Amino acid sequence: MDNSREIRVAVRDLWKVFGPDGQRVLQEDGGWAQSASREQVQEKTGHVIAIRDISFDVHVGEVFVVMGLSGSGKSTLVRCLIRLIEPTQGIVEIDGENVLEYDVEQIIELRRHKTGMVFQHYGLFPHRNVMDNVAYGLEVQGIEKESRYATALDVLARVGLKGWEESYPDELSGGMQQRVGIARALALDPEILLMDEPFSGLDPLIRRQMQDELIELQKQLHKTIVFITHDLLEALKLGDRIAILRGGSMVQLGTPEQIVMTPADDYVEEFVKDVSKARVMRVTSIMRPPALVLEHSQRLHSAVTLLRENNADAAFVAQSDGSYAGMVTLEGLSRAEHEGSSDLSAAIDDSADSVSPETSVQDLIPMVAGTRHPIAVVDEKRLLGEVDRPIVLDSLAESHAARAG
Amino acid sequence: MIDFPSFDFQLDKLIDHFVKWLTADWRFHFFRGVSATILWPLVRLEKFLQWLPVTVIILAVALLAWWSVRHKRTRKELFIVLAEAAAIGLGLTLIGLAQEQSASNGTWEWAGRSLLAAAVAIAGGFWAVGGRRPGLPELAMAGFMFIGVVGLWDAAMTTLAVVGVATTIAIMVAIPTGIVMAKSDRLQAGIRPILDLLQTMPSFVYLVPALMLFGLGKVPAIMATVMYAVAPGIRLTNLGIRLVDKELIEAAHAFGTAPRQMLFKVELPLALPTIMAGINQVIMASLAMVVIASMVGAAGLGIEVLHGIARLKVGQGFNGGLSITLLAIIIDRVTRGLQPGRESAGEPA
Ligand SMILES: Nc1ncnc2c1ncn2[C@@H]1O[C@H](COP(=O)(O)OP(=O)(O)O)[C@@H](O)[C@H]1O
Ligand SMILES: [Mg+2]
Repeated sequence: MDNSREIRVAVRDLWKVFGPDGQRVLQEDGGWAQSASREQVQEKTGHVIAIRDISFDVHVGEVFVVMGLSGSGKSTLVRCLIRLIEPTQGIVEIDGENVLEYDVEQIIELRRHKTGMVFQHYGLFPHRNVMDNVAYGLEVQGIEKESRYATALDVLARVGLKGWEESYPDELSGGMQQRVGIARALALDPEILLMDEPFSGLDPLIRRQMQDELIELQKQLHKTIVFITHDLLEALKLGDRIAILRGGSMVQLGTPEQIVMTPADDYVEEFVKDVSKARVMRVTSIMRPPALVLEHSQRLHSAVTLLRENNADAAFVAQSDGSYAGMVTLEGLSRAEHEGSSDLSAAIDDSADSVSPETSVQDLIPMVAGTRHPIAVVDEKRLLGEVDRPIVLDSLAESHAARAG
Repeated sequence: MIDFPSFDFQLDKLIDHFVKWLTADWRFHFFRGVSATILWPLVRLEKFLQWLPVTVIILAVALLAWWSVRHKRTRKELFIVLAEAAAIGLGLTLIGLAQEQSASNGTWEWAGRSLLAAAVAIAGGFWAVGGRRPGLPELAMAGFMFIGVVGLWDAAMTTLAVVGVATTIAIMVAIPTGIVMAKSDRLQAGIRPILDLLQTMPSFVYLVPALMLFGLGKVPAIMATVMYAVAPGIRLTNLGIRLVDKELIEAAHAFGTAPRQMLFKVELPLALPTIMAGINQVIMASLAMVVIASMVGAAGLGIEVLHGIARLKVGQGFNGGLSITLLAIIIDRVTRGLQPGRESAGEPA
């Protein structure tokens, strides 16, 4: 997905120390605090090191997940990006500008136009109805009522809340309130979405549904998303790249595949080992029928249209006798079309992953973690079904929940 | 036994001097100016209230009372209340006309009284047959009827004018003060003891300086009332703003809210219920000062009580006192209900 490596947010050597004089604590006595543990520093100085020397880039259009347990500094980190919390030291660049040098006016401009934020506890204004909550960001920009309501209606339709404009937040379920929260952020049409554990307060079923909807939404919108979660499955499901925080430090940064294959964090390692049920569960028990199967003989152009219509970015191809021939992606199709071919076969990627029905879900984890496209389940050339990252991770979440409950 | 030895520390003299200094020459003109500024709206409001036909006031009071009880803000209720108010208003008008045209019009007087009885019958009928208990509108109309019947209508209008002006000034002082106090911990620390002092000081004490600065009359009464009544307004405005959910403030910041927008779009609306409770307390405190304020010459219901006490006319004092109490209850209930908000917020009875 990240064919574009353009950097939207760059964080360099970022520190946040809570307390009356964090800067002093970091500098004094030869900077001992910089290498001391959180507990030591707290005991000696009463200050809390919430973020410790963190650097990363977020690329344009990627979903960058920050994962960590409670207290690891995730909320502090996202807030530092738009200075809802003032970083103690370091650099935060958005589109090449260091926002820590911004004055108050510039910060307000940044928050009005470039970023939109979604909160764990929704943060909706109880005295405003859904419409006025969603239009809030536009309202403070001074945009006319008519035009901001028009935008709000659009965005509400996008998140599936058409007809709820007049309701008040306390009349909505948690899931619906968070849709309003997302709509409020989207109404600004920001380049960057900051989401601080947006789905943590929702029950598992709704949570998975919201994750799927976010994936769908992101397919259309291509925002740059910084997504905070304490849930590894959620991180793996949504993230293009994942940063793992522990005790304020970043212990690993990588693609979902890298995180699963070479876990740097005990917690992640534990988790990956722990998916015991995944070892016995077969892919056939979680796969779904293939969403879209193209005929081998189909014209290239009509295939592109078909994918677009189905809002899909990949599809499987079958021979005329029904046997599996491979996969095409929207990208590959466009490339082939560009190169002047009109035949579908030119775009078929027969090296694309496919698995046999005996494959265990555990073996699927690294495979789906490595791609956003579906993977074919094939039995002796017969296409049985497909699986993709959300399906696999949801099945893991279910087995987790079943064991916990 | 040794008595407490005497010291030459004369705080009282110092304060006397200060007040004397305040009242000298140009400063005197300053306070005259303030006095005139307060008197202008006060006199007009009082005149206006006394000029308004009794019917109009009863109707207005009934409608306000109907509006203020949210869960009873229905068409049917409105219809009943209007019917009662119309019967009372028409009845009072007929009786009034009959009395103006001297005794010759016994029929009108009789018709008027029947209409008053009809109002009671309407309320009673809906109670007996429909199970609808008389509520705030009935209480409000009955209260004003009582005040009128005991001959204190004009006095009550004067009191309403004084309380109205005093409350308005107190609120105009309280809300901005409460806002700046909420914005600064140091200001809060500085203002708090002053508020404590204002609220615990026996209210008589305000009368003396007010009297010296503004002379006898309604203005010192209003100033003393404001001094006493402003504190709860400030306190609750401060509290309301400070209690606004920090997560909402943060969310507002995240969307680029400028400081002024924060105040008007987020903090004040969210603090409104608390501020309204403060305003309610300001009004109640003003009413509590009515009798005391009448000692410096504010006419109105307070005078009745004062005379009742001074001349041992228990009945007169009782009428005045009960009238004040009725006004207080009615205004209290109505202002509580007038808080803006929405239907589903659930109104505790
Ligand atoms: N305002 C604050 N003052 C002092 N310590 C804080 C403050 N906010 C957060 N912390 C501390 O910083 C650490 C990181 O907090 P936070 O960013 O909220 O973690 P997370 O979102 O990952 O749960 C925690 O140890 C927390 O106690
Ligand atoms: Mg958090």
